[in-house]
Amino acid sequence: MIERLFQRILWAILILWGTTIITFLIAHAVPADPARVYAGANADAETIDRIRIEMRLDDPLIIQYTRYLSKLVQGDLGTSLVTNERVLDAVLIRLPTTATLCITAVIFWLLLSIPLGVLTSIYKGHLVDRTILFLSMIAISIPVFWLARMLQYYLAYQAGFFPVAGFVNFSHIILPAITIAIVTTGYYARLVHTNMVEVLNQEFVRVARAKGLSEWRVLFKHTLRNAIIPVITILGLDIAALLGGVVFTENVFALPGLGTLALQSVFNLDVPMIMGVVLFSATLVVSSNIIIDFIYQWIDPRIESE
Amino acid sequence: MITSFVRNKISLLIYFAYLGFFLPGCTENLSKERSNKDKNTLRIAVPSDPRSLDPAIAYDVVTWPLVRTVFHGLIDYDDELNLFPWQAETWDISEDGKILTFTLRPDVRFSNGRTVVASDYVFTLERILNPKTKSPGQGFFRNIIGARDYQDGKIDHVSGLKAPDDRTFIIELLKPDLPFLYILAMPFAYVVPREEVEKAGVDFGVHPIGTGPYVLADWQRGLLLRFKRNPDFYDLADIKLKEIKIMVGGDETVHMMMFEQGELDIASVTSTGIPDPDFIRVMKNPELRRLVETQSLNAIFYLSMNTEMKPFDEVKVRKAVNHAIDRDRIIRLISDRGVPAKGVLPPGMPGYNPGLEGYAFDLDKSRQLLDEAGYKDGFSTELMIVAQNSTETKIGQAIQQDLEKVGIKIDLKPVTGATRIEAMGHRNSVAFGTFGWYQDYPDPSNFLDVLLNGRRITNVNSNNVAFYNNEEVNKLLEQAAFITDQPQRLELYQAAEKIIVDEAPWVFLYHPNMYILRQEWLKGLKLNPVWPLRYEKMWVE
Repeated sequence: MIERLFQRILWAILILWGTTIITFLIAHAVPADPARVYAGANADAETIDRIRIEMRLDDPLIIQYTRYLSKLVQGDLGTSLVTNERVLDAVLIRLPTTATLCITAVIFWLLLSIPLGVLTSIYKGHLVDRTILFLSMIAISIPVFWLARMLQYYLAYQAGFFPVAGFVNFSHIILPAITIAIVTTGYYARLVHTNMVEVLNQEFVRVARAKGLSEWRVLFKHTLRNAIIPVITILGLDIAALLGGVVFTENVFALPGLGTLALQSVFNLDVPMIMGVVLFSATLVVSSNIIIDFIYQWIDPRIESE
Repeated sequence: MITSFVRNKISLLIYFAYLGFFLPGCTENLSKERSNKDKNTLRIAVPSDPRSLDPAIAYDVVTWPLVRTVFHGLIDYDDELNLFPWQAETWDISEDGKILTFTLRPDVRFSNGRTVVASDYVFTLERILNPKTKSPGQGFFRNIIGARDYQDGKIDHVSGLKAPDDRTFIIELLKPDLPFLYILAMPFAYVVPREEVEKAGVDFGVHPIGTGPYVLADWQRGLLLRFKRNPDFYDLADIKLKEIKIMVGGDETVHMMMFEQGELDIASVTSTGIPDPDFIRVMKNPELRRLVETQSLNAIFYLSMNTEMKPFDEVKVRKAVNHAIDRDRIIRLISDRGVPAKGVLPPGMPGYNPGLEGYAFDLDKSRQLLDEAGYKDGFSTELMIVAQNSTETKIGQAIQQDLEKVGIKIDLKPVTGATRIEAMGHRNSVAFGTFGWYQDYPDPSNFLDVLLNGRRITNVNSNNVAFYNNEEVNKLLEQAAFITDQPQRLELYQAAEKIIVDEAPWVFLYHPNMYILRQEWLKGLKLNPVWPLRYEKMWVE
């Protein structure tokens, strides 16, 4: 167990190191000059040159990267080229908003998709199943930024059920969370459905029913518990997808989270900030995978031996 | 096999799940009151955090009005765009135009309580030139004696900046420079206190201390900024708003919705105001229409033809392109939010020449010119446009259609704004592209000299993106730069502009207008082309 954990962490570090290289190269492959973006549209060539030197962007890439990495291993994510904010501070200030949004969204979509998945597995092939399948397909195909704008317009602006945008209290999180939940629910409802159907056909379910257990117990204690394992694995992997959806959703609803920070840093060509946000997200994804891996084992102890 | 009991339970579960979905929305009691409850507060929204409120750093149309609430400088513009002494009492320019002497008001204090002395201005300007400050405005101040040596680290102080006593501030210039007063009226030169700058270091932009009517009370990144009245301000009687509250985040569509719900006092404070998709609806609604204020901006939107690259090295081709484009249609495409350009200078600019004829929409003439230039069958080229900007896409397509008629085949090349400016400023890389310029200060030199002086061409990051180089124009511009008689200067600029229009390095398209949509209760918006929005002059009633 300990050895396995150690192995996983070693891999995680390698993955994160690879992430820094790729992000750094992509950030510098953009055919635009951060010094020019910083200096503004009206600045002259000499001013841009002097700012580039001050920002230490005139060094060869390999030196810039080594400098970045040597600071990184000391736990220093650097400071923004544009706002002078410390990158770690900027990320940590915005983390609670994004975390609240993500957790709320996950709760919403699990609350929706598990019952839907169970329901459709019971009614497999019936009209209920096919209607929900059809709606799920629509939900999966909707681009999140479009849905966000539509919900914002109809539910917040027209109907006034929610605030339009900004972040004052929890009520500002609900509509963005619903947006993310709708897009994701479709997929998860299908996932739960497929697993439920598969497990329902297994022998132990028939045995449970033969024993005279109540249908409620059969479905939720025996079937769902087994059907949910792959869902949890996917959930862990989906943290990454969730962070992607958050970028658009946060921007539409003007939430001061990591997504907004990421987009703004890209517009500003703020390399240290871009690196910081990507690295932070990568760390989240990698560590959530490790955690999920162990939860998985805890739910089903047979897994370790495999 | 499945009992009805289970079905009921499951549907109950789903019912609760859905209830949980909407319940919080119902309990949230959103007041839809369409008024500003706190009469002394201005509420606006900006799309993202200002980069910095440090006057040496801030350099965009959204942040400058905010910087102006916290900082003031030596001189400013009145409503008629004349310069007047602001925190200087008087100023004097020596006969040769090289020495500027300012006498400071004795009653001006920073918001930390300390009185402003002349050495604060020495420090302020020196700080802009200090490479470590990374000021985007440093280029404006290189005409001060010793500026370049100071930037290169050869001397410790800029020799042309002097403070012989607490109330006298002297600037010595290398060359006479009439627009230098305009430069001193730019926010870069607003005075900052040395002790606070040294204390805060790079964080001065987050903890700004100035001499303006407001102080920054709160800045929560990504969320809001709040400005409160500065009790130490010398002219507090004129300042009516108690507080300025700025929401950070959201695009202009979101801001428009919030405005219509009464949550904001101005719909959009970006350079053009009312967002494009809402513009026609607002202008057709009499209730909203009467709350719109308009200002023509000192700006130009143009197509740059790289005069060093084929086929635009041929003047007849450039003229032919100018004749082939239907400017009136382009103005219609932008919902009449601009005036067609006949030359370089916008109508609000000193030296604007209403007599310029520009280029009429004339396809026959265009074909004839192309024929004479040896392009009877036209040619193919790319037009670089900014992808995120829907207006540019529309204009790009209109130009594509117009030029098709004279046999010029255009492929649109959409890129990001940062890529375009980089690519077009690079010598011999982009033949044809859209470009815009917004004034730094209201003087023709800021357009003609910066954008079209051949001696200012650089191989990278050139602002002369047409790489236009005409010796006669260069001479006129240099001449105009160094004389101090304004009418004579303006004549020289007009002469230069005339040659430029005739040689057509650009397709002169239009000068944009700004449209500000305000709430009924917001008063005191006197838009002008230099400072479209002056929050410190507004009030709520």
